[in-house]
Amino acid sequence: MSAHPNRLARDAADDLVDGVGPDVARDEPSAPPPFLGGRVNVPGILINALLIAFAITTIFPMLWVLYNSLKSTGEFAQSIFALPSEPTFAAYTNIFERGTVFTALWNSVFYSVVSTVLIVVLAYSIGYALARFEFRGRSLVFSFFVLGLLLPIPALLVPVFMQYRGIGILDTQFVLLIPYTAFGLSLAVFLIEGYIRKIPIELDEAAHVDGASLFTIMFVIVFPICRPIIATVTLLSFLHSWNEFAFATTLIRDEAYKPIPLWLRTFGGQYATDYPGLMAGMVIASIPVIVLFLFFREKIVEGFAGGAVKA
Amino acid sequence: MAAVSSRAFQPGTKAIWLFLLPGLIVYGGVVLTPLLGGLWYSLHEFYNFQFHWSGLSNYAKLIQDGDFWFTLRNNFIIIVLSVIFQITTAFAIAVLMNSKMVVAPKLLRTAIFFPVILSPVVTSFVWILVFDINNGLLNSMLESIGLGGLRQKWLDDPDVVIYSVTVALVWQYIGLFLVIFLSGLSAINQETIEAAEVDGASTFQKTVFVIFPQLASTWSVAMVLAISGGLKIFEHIYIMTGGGPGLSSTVVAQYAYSQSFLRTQFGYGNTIAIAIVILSLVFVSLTIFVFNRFVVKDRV
Repeated sequence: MSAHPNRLARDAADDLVDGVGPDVARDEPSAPPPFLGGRVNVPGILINALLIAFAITTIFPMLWVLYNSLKSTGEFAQSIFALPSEPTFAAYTNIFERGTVFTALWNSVFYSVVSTVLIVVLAYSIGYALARFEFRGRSLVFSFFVLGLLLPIPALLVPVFMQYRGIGILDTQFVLLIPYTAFGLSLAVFLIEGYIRKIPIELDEAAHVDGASLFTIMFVIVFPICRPIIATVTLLSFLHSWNEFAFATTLIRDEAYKPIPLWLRTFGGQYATDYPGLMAGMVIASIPVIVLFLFFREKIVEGFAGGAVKA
Repeated sequence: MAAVSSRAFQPGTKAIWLFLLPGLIVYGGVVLTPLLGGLWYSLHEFYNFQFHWSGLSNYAKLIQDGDFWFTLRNNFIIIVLSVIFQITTAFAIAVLMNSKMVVAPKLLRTAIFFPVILSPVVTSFVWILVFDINNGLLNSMLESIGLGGLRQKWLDDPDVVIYSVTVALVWQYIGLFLVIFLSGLSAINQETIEAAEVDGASTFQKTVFVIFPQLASTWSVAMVLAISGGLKIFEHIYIMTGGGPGLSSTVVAQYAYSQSFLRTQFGYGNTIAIAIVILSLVFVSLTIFVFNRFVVKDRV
């Protein structure tokens, strides 16, 4: 079997699909799995129907939000179910004309990109050191990062607020980068450390014998091998920073520094009865994560599953 | 952790700490110092814009604070319901998907996982819209299928609201538990399942006696996630209900928040925060202990 746990998981997921794709199920109706007793596959049909119904409940609300955001307020009031008869982007143009959304989008891009880069750089150097070097305090550092995964983060809101108020960094352009990077680090260190540990150390040693510097070993030899896990960490960190709300609402009051979730909350509060408007705001806030999810769903799912099991 | 043997190319201790320090400083600045700071502030009372030493009086107050216990009870309602509906349903779906009865499992998994990636702010608004009394998806649906009598003030009735917000939480994160169980299932020994089939085991017997014991550690992970997750709920309730009506949907993290920021009792707010940290660590350790001690060890 291959060396990396994530690859194992992916192989398994592929097997799952290869083995039971729709074609297979349709080609062999006469050979249901043995535990069904070989009769007409009534339980199978029922179970599939049930699961599909369940999956619709997870997808439909967001679709409902999407198509209702294309209605006028009047049309929404007439029927909340019907598809828009005359789709209009009025709700969107209203938002764009007010302009605050652009500041929020820019802030979110800034927070998400910078914190993601910081997380990858810091977590790779920590992960490499933890996986490859032996030193006193190694397991302490490791446990310290475990703690971050178990801590109830909202419990830290009040102390973090007090501390940052004391230093005087509330309501600044950079303040959110600190918690976003810090809480991303826990998971990133785990995933990267675990991954490097699975790479044979003989590789590093051989490079060392050939005269490669530590820098070369780390970044030219080992880093490229870690690309899959780095991609996972990048995606998870970006999603987390883009979606984060609790620290944003605690540490930021100034419109100029609000990220998109905080903007949405303010916007939704002000225009509580303008349903299509609120829905358009929700769509704008979600588009980046939905696009990422559509393109990288395997990696994202794998990262969430792997991260949870690690924790 | 397995010990790392000393390596020829290993740099000196000082150099190693250079690798660690930048990350540790950022991390410590958000995790360690607030914890210690919170502990320190929790021993103070805040009035006249200053902290005044008050010893353990905040903790004495906490123990007698009925509102705190009420909000903690709300967390436990959410945790118990999550374990019953979220974890159990996710486990059942995962087993079904693994049993090759399901058409298009990958699509199904993607669909069920989808809400996990959305911002809590977005999903909270989704559920505000679903639960809206007049224009809400739920009440309108009940109306249109002739069950108008079941209409509720989902987020405004103190007796109902905690269950409504739980539905929102279960809905958003069930996909996370699903993929955890799926990855657990993909690691178990398929031969044991086939052997059970050969011996004529029913689906139920296979699930309970063959699959379940091998997934003990996955269950432990899921339980830890549900419990620690249930104790740190904040954003959804903050946005959906603000903890109301009254205290009816307030959870501990929100209680700490409102004591601090709305009532400017920053000392007491920190006390609640520290209590949450302690409770969370205690319950998580307890869960891990119970699973390690009493549930069959997996890995055949």
